[in-house]
Amino acid sequence: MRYIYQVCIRLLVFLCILTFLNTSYADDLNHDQKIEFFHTKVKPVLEQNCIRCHGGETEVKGGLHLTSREKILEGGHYGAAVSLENPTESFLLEMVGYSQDTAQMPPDGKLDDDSLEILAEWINIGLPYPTTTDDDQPILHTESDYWAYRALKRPNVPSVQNTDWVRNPIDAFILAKLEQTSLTPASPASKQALIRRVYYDLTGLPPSPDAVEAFLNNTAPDAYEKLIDTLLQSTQYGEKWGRHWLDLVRYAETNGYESDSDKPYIWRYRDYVINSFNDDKPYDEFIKEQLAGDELDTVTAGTIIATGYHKLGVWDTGPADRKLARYDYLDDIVSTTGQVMLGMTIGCARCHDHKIDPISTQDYYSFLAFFHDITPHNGGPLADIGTPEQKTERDRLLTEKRIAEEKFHDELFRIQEDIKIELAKGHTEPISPEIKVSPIRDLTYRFYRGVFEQFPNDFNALEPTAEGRLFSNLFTLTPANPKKNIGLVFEGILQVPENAIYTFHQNLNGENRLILDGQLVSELSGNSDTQITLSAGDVPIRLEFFNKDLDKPNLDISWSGPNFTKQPLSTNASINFGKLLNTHTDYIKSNESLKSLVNKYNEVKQQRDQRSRQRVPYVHQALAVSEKSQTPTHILRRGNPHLVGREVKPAFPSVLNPSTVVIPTLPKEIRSSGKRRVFAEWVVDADNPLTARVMVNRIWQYHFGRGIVRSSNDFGLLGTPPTHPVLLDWLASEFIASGWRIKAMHKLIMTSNTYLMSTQNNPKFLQLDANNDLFWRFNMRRLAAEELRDSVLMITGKLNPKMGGPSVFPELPEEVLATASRPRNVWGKSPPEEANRRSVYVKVKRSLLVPILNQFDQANTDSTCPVRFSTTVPTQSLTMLNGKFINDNALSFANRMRNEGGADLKEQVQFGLRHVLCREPEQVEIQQALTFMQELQQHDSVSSEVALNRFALLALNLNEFIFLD
Amino acid sequence: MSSQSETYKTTKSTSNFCGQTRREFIGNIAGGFASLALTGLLSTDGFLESQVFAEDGVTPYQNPLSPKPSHFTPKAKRVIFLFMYGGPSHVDTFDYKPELIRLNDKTVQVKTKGRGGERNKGRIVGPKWEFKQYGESGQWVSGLFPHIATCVDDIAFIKSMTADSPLHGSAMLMMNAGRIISGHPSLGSWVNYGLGSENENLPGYVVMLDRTGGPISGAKNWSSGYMPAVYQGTVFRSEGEPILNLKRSEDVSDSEQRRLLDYLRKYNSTHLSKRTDNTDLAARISSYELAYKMQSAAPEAVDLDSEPEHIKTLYGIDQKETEEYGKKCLLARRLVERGVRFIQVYSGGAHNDDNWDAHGGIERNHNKHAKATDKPIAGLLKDLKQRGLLDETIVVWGGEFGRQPTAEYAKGTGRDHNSYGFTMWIAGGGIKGGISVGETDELGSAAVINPFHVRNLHATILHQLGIDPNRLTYFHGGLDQKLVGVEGAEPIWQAMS
Repeated sequence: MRYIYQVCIRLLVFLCILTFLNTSYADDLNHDQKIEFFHTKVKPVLEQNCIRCHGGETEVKGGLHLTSREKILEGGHYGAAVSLENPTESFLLEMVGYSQDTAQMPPDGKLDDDSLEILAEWINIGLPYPTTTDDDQPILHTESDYWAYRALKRPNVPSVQNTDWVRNPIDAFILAKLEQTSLTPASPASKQALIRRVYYDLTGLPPSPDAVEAFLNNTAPDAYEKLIDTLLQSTQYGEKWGRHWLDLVRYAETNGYESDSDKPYIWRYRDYVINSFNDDKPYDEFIKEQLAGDELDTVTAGTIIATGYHKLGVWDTGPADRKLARYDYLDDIVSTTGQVMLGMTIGCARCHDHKIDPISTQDYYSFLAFFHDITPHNGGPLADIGTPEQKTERDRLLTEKRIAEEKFHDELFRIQEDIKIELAKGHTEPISPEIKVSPIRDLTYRFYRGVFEQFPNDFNALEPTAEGRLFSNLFTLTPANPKKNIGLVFEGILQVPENAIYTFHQNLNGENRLILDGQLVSELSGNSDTQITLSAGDVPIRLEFFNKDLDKPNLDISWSGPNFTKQPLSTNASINFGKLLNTHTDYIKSNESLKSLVNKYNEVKQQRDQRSRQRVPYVHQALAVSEKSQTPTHILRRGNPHLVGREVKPAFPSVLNPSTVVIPTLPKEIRSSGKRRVFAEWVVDADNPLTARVMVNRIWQYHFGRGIVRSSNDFGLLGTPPTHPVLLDWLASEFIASGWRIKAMHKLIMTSNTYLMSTQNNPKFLQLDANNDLFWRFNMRRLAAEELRDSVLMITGKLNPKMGGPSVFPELPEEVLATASRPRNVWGKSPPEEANRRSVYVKVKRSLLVPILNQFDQANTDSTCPVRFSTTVPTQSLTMLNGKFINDNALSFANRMRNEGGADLKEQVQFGLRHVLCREPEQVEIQQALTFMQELQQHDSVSSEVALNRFALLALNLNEFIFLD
Repeated sequence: MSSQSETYKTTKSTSNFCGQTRREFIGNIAGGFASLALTGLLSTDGFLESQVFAEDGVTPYQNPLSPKPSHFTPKAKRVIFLFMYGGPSHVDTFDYKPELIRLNDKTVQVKTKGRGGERNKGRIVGPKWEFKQYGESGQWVSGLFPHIATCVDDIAFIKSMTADSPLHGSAMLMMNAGRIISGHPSLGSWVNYGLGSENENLPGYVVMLDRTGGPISGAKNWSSGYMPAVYQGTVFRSEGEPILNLKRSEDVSDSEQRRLLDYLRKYNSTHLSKRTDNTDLAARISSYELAYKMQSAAPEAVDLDSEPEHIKTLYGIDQKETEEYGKKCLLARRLVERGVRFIQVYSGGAHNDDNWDAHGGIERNHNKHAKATDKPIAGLLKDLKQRGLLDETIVVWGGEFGRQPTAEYAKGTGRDHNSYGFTMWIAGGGIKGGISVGETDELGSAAVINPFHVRNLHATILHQLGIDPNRLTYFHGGLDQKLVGVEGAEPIWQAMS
């Protein structure tokens, strides 16, 4: 029933169109509207369905070329394809309408009704067809000559008239297009505007007044280049550009859904990203590490952490349909990877072939097959990523802890037994109903832990780890902890009732010796019965037991005699000690020696508990990818995991004419399929037409506010076409030639005159090109959420520059915490100086957002975020006027003005504005502040101190502070 | 479903192109939406902008919440969604199943799926409250809701609701945003995206939470997903400061703040004078004035003291058990009067018996929550009606799912979750009162006659607001996304008057 409503309506519309066919309305559309109709409606239909066979340069099927109006009218082997006189009788419509049994196009299935309508309407309005486009590309793209799928070729730098303006080749590309129009580049930005722009672009922070002054006074010809170099070397660079990447990969530190549980150690991935940018890691390596860091030739802690990429998405711990959830999880990886690394919305082909782009469902599942064996979030253990030294140290600490805990166990056990014995002394009745009668008395144990390789002949020659009495008077393994590599020696007196033959039934799986009256009775493992004659009275009994490596040692002995059968001499049970103490509280109070024993017990127990609580931290674990056994991937019909279709093998999207996938066998120590590595290598292959284009476009976007392709996650037909396709190709070629170095691209872009332009408006140009498609000036932008928060902290002098590590928790208002279902446990607490770290280190919890970051359009974390929104709403103003964060900081800022600005109020204001605006304030601006404060004092009766506090708040709200020229 | 499609076709199709001439129709296709190629002929008719902010982030500013025309004449202007978080039991409230009384305590074969997994049989727990028929229409209501029972002639009960998940987290996302997958905009976001808000001094999408805390997944339930944050719900409190950061810092007087704003505007105007083409700068200047107005408008809206005593009594504000929800319902009415587009009022928060999640025992849990909400909700319906507001306000009642007819444990009356069949009700805003639509089986375990999905409910709400649910789209991730999903959904025609 899918689309049934729409189909019905569309059919109606279609019928209506047909009804109107012979009216004259068609003539009322002007030429531009008709061409627009072709571009938006007809072209996609042709490209997706027809052009594969009817668009080639040389041979086409049936001789019919659909690549120009003339050729269509000319027709193919079967005559004219279109009749302009009788549009409805056009042969083309007959073919696509499937009205004949033999002549049906396209052959693999009838077009949907939408497309049929469009073709009919197209013919009806006279078959409009544009002639050329800007860049002399074919109007209709066969799939492989679509601009984004075309092989990357380094274009020639165009020649321009105004060569003076060309600082580097970028400018030639920009100017070449401008010179085709009446537009000219804007004047260069002032040095003040430039340093602020450059600082924010590269570090996300404002320049200090000293930095501004130094730059303004530096007249050296390379002053600007030096500035860029310095900032590219700063660690703040990675924090700014790493954040861009984190937006793309929908980085968050919790899983979302019902429990929104933490993703352990995922902050290591955040640090990995920041460090990678700071280290100028080549982009191809960066991609390979994230996709397949566990499968590379050299696997390091860093490459393992990088694979946390696969664990960043949302994950439902308790899904309604586990199978569906599994494929939702994989889809999330496929969609994100497709959009982020390739600019392909491949995720759209999950349920049906992509409606617009040449991506089939088969492509989708073949793509998914590369990731199919990844374990879900909780499926694999955390990866061990420590250095050998860290591992040794951790092992040492663990051993130390274990030994300490064992000692406590031995001592506690001994005291417990002593207490029971003492307790029994004062009672005639059994002290606990669980107590069994034993024919043995005065039974002692000696416990030996891990001191020997094999069953010792002479335990007496060895030093026991622990020894004591056994209250139960039965052999038992309870003194042993652990149970492996241990020896136990029991000695007691067996009370033999009469002279007779007795049978000892043994079921011991460790090695053992049973000695009665000094004589070895038995030393067999397993089930055995041994008969021995004993005389009435006390007979010394001794049992030696040894377990090397059995997981479940067993100690089970009983005996039988003339008048009794199978009386146990051993036990597995233990009395509940806490309960025992509770039962006899009063008696214990009355007995001094018992009291001191119990006190001792409690004391040791407390020490034990304290020691146990001291965790040996996992200093070297990471949430990383892992794979389980390989299972075949199937096409799922309509995306439904319960409708399993045919099997597919890993393959790259067919539209890119890829090579066949060969998955090499990996060495045994790598416990994964190797598929992701093959995928990663294809992504960063220099022949992949998309990867470099997509990434340089992003770099451009983050500098200029918009990409050359505005839809930076979608290079397909639904995306926006590039405004400067040739420049894009040139940049992509440069990028690869530089060894995929991102910093080299920054330097290249930022040293162009294009980047150096001011944001100055030109009303005439604005009218001609309101969207600045031609880059005739630089685009203003608002600070991003993180830049805003970080700048406030920086200006007020509170920003803590510490890098890396677990995320921090800035204080949140009660009202915000109350929105969580567990208001008290939902958010952590960081000391103030930690809370004042850069926003990239603030905890990213999917179900609880930090208001100031959320309100200023931080990235949505549930799907990839290629472009931040930049919204303006009153609630932002409320936060910036009344919020605790801003008011606390305004106060600190005012104090800073007082303490560092100078004695004079005017100087203080000057100091404040200098910090906020990153320039020398003008006299009139200072004067305005002074008047403001005077009025506050005169009319609102506030003190001079408070007046300055208010001015500090005002300053942090200035548009000039929040927007960049 | 196909018969409903037919209904839609005959009801909604028009002899012309949505009121336009064919020329306008084609012209709009050609002129307006070049970047949104082939989004379907109907979504390009120009009545509704497909996207306020392009994902490029450079589309010129316009107040995203300014009122926008609907697709067709709306029946309703606003929505109050009374969210019974945790999942009220339909068989104990509105879905009368005499068979359960007969089979009480007997173990029967019945397929259920809840947090405890799938089961094929279970011990029947009969309804714990007596059902009676009420109103001229004779709708069944249990003893849990004596006050709502007096309003049934204004209510359409949808007794055959289904959802995709019987687990709170994903089911909450579905009821609020139409998907069990996280990351999609919620109903209130879609409504504000589609229609804007009528009062710029108040948020267009307000959420009121329970005193005990938010629902599971917190802010995800009123998230704007992939849309800009301007469309997300604003948490409103009925006590204290209604909106976060609404109140001036305690030591700041009004005149001080006014002066600060005046001087801020002076600085910002000078800055703007050299950049007059940048509408973002102007928008930010005016947003401070809006914020200032909001500071007085919002407290005025929440000032319940100005309400007469008999109104407070009507909502149960004079009684301890009903005070909290009563205040929120009264506040909802006041917000409706002031043009707030979408208001969601949670009953229940946090976990377990703090909400309708009656695993431990149905009686104690439902008595508590029904008591707290019955009178306030009836008060709201009556108050809206007497003010003539009910005609243009849709009131929706229900949880993320219902509960099973069988017991969850060997002993006791606790019921597990049930997404196979449950009841929601709607009133006002062109909804036909005094009817029941759809049915569950004789045990109430699953919807069997005219089953409706959550998407149908969403479609109904949008439709009543004058929005075609299948044409309200937002381009994201390579797709024209819709609240009702790519496959679309029909409104529940039977519930419309």
